[in-house]
Amino acid sequence: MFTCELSRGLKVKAISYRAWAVWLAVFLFISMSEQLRAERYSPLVSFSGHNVSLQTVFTSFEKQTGMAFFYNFSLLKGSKPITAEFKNVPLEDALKQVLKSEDLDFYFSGKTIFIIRKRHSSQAMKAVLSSTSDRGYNAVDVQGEVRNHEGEALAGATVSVKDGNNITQTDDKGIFKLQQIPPGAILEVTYQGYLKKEVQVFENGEVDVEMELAKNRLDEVQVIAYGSTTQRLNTGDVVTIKSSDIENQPVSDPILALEGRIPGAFISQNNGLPGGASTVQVQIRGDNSLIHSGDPLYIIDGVPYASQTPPSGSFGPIMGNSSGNPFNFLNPSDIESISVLKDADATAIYGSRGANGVIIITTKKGGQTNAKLDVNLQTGFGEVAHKMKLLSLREYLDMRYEAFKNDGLAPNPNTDYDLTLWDTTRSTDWQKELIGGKAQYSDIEASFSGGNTATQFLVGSGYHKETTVFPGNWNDRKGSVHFSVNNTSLSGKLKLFLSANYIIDNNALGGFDLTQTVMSLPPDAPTLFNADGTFNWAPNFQGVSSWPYGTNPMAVIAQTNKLKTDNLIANAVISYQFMRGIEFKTSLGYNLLQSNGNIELPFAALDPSTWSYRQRESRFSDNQVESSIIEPQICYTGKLVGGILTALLGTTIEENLTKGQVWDASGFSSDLVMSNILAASNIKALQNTYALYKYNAIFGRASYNWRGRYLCNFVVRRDGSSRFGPDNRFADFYSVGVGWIFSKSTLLQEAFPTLSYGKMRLSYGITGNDQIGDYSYLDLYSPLSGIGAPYQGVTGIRPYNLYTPNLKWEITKKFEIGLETGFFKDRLLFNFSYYFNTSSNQLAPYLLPSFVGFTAVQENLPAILQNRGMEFDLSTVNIKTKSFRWSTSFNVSRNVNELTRIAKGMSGNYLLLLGKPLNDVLLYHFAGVDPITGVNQFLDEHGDRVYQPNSSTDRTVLLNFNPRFYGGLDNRFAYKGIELGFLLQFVQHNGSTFPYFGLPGFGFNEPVSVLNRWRHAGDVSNFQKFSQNGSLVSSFTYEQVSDQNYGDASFVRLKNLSISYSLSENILRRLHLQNTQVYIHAQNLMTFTHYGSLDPESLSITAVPPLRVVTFGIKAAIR
Amino acid sequence: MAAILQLACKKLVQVPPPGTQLTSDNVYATNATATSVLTGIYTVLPASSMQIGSTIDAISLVSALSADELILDGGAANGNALLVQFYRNALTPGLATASSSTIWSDIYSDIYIANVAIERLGISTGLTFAVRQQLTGEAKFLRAFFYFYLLNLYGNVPLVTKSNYAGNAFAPVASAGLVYNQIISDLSDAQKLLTDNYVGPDALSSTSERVRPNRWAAKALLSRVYLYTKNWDSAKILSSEVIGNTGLYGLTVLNGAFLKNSREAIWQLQPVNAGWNTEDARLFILPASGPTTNSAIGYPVYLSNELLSSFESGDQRKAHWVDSVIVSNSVYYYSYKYKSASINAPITEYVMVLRLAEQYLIRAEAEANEGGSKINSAIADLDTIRARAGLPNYSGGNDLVSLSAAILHERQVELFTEWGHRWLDLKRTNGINKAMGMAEGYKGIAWRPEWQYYPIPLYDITEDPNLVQNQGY
Repeated sequence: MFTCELSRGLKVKAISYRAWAVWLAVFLFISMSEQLRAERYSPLVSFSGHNVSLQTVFTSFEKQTGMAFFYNFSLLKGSKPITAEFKNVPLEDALKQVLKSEDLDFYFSGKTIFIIRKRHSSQAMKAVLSSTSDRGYNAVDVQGEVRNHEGEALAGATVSVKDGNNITQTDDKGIFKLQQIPPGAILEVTYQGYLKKEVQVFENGEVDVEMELAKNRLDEVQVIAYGSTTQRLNTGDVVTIKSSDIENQPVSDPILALEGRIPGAFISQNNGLPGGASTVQVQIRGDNSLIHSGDPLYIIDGVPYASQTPPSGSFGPIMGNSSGNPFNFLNPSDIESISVLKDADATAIYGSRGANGVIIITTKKGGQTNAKLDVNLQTGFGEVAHKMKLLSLREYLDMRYEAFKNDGLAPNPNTDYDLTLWDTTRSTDWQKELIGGKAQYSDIEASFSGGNTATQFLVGSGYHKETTVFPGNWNDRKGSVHFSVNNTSLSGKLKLFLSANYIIDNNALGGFDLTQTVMSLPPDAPTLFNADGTFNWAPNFQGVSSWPYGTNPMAVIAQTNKLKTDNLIANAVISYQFMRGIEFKTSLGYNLLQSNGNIELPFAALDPSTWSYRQRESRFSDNQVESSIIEPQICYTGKLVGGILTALLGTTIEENLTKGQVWDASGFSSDLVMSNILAASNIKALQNTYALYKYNAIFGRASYNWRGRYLCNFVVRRDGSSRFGPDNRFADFYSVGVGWIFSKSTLLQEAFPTLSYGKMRLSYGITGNDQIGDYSYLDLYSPLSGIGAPYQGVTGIRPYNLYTPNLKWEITKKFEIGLETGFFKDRLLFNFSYYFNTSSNQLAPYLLPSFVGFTAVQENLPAILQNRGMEFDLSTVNIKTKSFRWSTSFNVSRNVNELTRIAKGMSGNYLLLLGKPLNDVLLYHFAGVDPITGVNQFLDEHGDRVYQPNSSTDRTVLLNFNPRFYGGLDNRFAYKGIELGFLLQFVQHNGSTFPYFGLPGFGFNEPVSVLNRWRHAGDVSNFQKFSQNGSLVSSFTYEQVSDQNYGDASFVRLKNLSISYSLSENILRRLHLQNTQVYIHAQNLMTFTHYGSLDPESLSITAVPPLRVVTFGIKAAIR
Repeated sequence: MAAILQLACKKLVQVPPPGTQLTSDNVYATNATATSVLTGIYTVLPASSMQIGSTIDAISLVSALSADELILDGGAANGNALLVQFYRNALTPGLATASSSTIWSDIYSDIYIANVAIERLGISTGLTFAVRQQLTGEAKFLRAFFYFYLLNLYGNVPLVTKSNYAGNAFAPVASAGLVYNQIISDLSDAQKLLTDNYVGPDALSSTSERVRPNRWAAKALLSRVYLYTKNWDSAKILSSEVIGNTGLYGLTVLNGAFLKNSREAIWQLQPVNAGWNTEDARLFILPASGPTTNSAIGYPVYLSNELLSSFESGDQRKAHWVDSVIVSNSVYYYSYKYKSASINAPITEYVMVLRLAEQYLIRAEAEANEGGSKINSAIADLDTIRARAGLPNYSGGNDLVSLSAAILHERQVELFTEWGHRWLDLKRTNGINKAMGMAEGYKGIAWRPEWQYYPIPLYDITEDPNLVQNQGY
């Protein structure tokens, strides 16, 4: 059903933008004319009752007319019972009748009828109906104070006269003044993150307002670019995740907490290793770039943060030592919220960097409360949740013998150790042995916070340790400190905000992900250790190790792998309000991510028979990323024709320096001195990275909010980046976003009384992508690397690319239309967005014949990549009683990626992908095993069966690897102190389903599916015969790139389960505690899938899958 | 105001080139960096593992495989698919991983560097005059050296002498004459620009290291080019000049010829892989276990019977430049010109590119072709080479046919497994079809004359519509 909906939705693109504009104008007209009409509206009512209360009468009128009565209960206290009977009388007359003997009067205002005390009534009526133009009433000057539930003054709250034109904002002390307001008029007070409040003006003109925190998602504070808003008033598409969602998930990378929760953001974890070794792919609304990075822009407390760490060199797949994941160096418990910005309206202010979406991370701050200490202790374990079904020892040996029989050969004692040397009666479950362990997970967090009206502070500290599922003591440990201080001067005009996050990560993970070895190791492979605890090298008759690849898989534990990373993110914001409504603000940010690595390959980790020709080798790495940013801004807030105008003008000066070195040292005389580079006889520099990136921009934003009904947002940015040629560094970006809160229209309120909130959003704008690497336009000459003995003692240099001064950024034009609705007093919220993004100016290689010196040159090609899709988001409060609450939220997203135009000079593969998703893969069409020969067959381009298809003509199947749709279903239950929440994540996508480790028949273990192989002439099978002499290698290789190898890898995963029990207030009071709970959190608890391989999310058989993590914890606040 | 803003902004996004790298603007501004570019070319020539067969130094391997000098262990079943193609002369132009295309693109990327160097050195003002002369000479020498091999391996090649990639991208195939003219012009210039002595890494100071080309290297290569273009007189004059420089050059004992900076060396390449002497030694010298078909282990080749049987009895070159291992009663002979193949042995050998013995043979061939009174001096040159190998003087006929055959034979046993001499000689003397016909049996192929030229990479044909593929592919 869903897909059907989608296909219809996609046709929307056919409607031109002009048509949208016409529609918008029509909507605006309807809603405006309605309002004019509403002033004179008095429907007919009927009533019959004997001695009933006024309230009953009003309720009956409300039911009949759909209008609402607004009054203070105390007004009705002394009223007499009513006996009356009308039939189809105008409401106004009916009211006059019932109120005639009371000291009460009424007036209409839109769809509301206000009941007021009689002696002010005539003026009030006049005032409202004739507005401020008529001065013939006893209007008063109103002064009031706006405070929150904790008594804190709320500066900048908007106060407006309902249905009038007067509007103002509170000052720094929460005080506001309005002149010439008719008594009895209603003031609306709104403040971000709080519920809207309506208060009546009395004759003394004093109005104090206490605001209540919004429990409604629509009114919660949402962090956006250079400011904040609420979902209700946002013209852009922003999704925010709160700390409570992050805390419930035992993850060390905060980005993983977003999985399944953000419509439009596809997030997947590539492996289950801790400590930055796990790489997380984040893609917001598809791939916008042909070849360049699709990473979103990350901003942490105003400081741009690298999405990748620089590579630091390794011997092989060294965990955490290759290009790592910088989000590991951020403590999830320090995070207050993560906002994901998706459309042009939200991202255009980031100019040339916002094309792939923006993720804004905000850390925690102290509040105006008494000092308190929050403590959270958590411990648990992680494990591989799913094992693959591999051949048993008997089945493995049978496979091998059958392979030899098929080949007409006998096992060779020189090579086939699994049959001739090893003990073929001994069987080991290598999955259990090598990746079957339990990873330890421990986490301790404490934070101390508090404050008063002038100063608020928070100091937090955490310790986190994770080990691996592999045998051996490999671990990653992190210690972190976080603080933030807010201070406001006595005048309330000068403010300072300071925050810093510092983390030290000690990564001592092993040198290898053992998963790869595990899966292919024959069941009869020897024991890992000898009886005396030394490595079992299982030497053959020549004394050389008989282990596959010549190495005992556990020998990696003798290697040293240390990577120490320090990460400091600091931010200061100083602001000064030099006159009412105008504030000058400067944000200063600094980030230093520094890592030092040391890897040692001692002889202890090597087969002794190789010592004579091997060398001891150490690597030393030193890398850092340093970035600083200064953003002075001027903000203006003021009234403009009955609405509030907020404007922002700012500039960004950013500098980012990446540098690093990797040294390789060899020729140590002993394993013991390998940490000392001076003990090496040969040292060579493997890598020297240096990249300076400078970025500068001027940006402006104007937002206009007309009475919470019409919203408009306009953004411009002129933007310069050092990544491009001197004449192409600057470009302009802009966006326009409009919103119409149609639920405020009387007509709609009448027609759909259950509709409590409705907004239509429309945005269009241009953003760019400058993630093409630094200096790529220059013809750089770099020193030759890896030269051990430089020519004539001098390091030669060489150019690696052509000079291309014309490079510019890639451009993404984003269009979005969104509908947001709330029903039943916002208990049910439903959002829908449709977007259509077009990326052009693609920076891609323009192919050149190699005889010009290079095979390609980077150019902006007029190729076009489109991403269009839809996102649905539904959240409901299903049950809400005093003691029980059940809420659900559901989101589903679909993105369609299409290469709609290719350009001359692009590689031929793109030609085949025209009109298709960019990462479609071309495959052979598998045609089963030849029943006569037992060998794989494929269909060629003419549909004939062949053994050896042609790579340029016969790859006829296009397979899409983009997720077709994905999303999540979150349920939360609260019963008294017990809370239960679970998140189901679902993804429909394709993956490799043919997890073979080599040609079945070779000395590798295989999944049990190979047992269905061809055996005798006439057998019909999809698995070719076993063979071990290499004659079937090519048909096996073709099979690997055929549709036989790929299939559905969709899954539904119980991503998160959290159960907590909060201790009752009574007990807590006695213990001087607050908010104390014990809890169980679990991640990746269960997966439902048909996917036969290791893990449908990571889609890898060489990497340890994302772990099932279960933790137990206790959380308390001490005051 | 806007203009000021604009200017200010421009400054804020200006970054200098990275401290770790240079650009073509500043690289030719100083002696040291400009010299390092050419040093970079010399560095990559001997840097790669030869058996990968992708770089120019692999010519010694792949041409010898294409000709009749080497046997590929396991033949068609060898794990190294690329070498199988060269060995069986059946090159596929299309496959990027298994074709002649990498040598082609490798050479052309060095030509690009030489082209930029020649252009930039011509307008550079920051360099010492002598350094500029020397470097321009080296760049021209290298460009000629590269085109000589391109032309002789591929037959038809586009002639690219400018760095402008947009202009070059549609170049057609140039005629052999045109390419030879460019080679001769470059070498003639190089002859004038380069110094008499060998220079150090500063391209200025004199050194005993014969690892950068000097004037004599330019003359030696030019004499070879004249020989190939049958300009006998010029070939003779130039080789005589080199042979006449007895202060620098002279024939050594056989075991001394390939040592570093030997008197026989006119131009050598210094090994750059730490702990190792030449890559040739690492590839050719077989371990006790013999050759192997496993592509991961680097001993895929041994000498052919065609080569071994062409040594006359008593030829000391067979004793000193050939060695063998015995594995399961089979004897495998290997090229033993370079002898040091163990790690961390002292560096005693450099890769020989141009050496004096070839100059004697060039002069002999030029004089033989000039005929008449020159026949005797031709025989004398031939005998000089034979004498060093412990062989008696030439006793064959004085006619051109006999003498040419003797010189060709002498080149075969003198220059085997060196820089494709045998493969190129067979082609320029029209002996290729006969020789390869005899190799058909052990190679398991049916020789086709078109195979004497490698195919132009399909990639280049696709990207440049003006290129035409060689016949037979």
